[in-house]
Amino acid sequence: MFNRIALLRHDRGLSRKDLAEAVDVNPQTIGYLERGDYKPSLELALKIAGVFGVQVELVFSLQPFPSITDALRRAGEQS
Amino acid sequence: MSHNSGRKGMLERLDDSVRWTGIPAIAAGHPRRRSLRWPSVAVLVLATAGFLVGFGQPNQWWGYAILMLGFGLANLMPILGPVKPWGGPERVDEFDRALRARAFLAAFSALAAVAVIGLWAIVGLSLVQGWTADALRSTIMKLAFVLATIYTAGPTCYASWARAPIDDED
Repeated sequence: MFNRIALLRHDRGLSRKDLAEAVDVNPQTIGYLERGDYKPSLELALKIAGVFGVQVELVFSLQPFPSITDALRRAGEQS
Repeated sequence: MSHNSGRKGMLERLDDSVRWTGIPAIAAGHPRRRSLRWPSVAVLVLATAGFLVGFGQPNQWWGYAILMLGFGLANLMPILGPVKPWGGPERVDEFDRALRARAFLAAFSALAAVAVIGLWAIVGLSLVQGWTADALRSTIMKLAFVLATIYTAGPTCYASWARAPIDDED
């Protein structure tokens, strides 16, 4: 499972500790999630998506997420 | 100006040394848990080696001493290692629960295997070699200490190797 937790966290200026407290887990658990060492429960995935205010599939995916560069290039081509 | 300015006094050094042991953090309910990969392997090796050295020999004291050293050190593993106990004051989240479940499952599997192999080995060798009752009692007792060591150090060993340590800092 792939996720964008680190990207979204940095975008929102949240530390691991801040996010961990928001979803009631230990900061190390956020680290393991970001590293891909742990697959969260549905409840935790929904809580994390809720903190960022996005749908859960924007944070977690079974397929690798496209790089930011590719996403921006495609967005530029479409506009 | 004193030459001692900026230096720590004896009491501060004593405080630092006590904090270094981690005991105040444990008493406060926030123990600093760490990966104990090689220490957990070392205590399991010590206990096993001590058991094998003194196998069937009730008066073989140094094998027993090695076994008891391993057993004694193994009791520190649940306190300092990455597996959080049931009912403690620490926050146990879903990651901790999943890790603990896998760690104990692995440890109990190893414990069951060692128990079966050890008991059959004791039964077989005691018959073949004609052990005395004293030798039989001593070896069964040593096997019990090996099993207790696996129970205390096994989950720590599994959990320490199953997850790479992660930095607390962001």
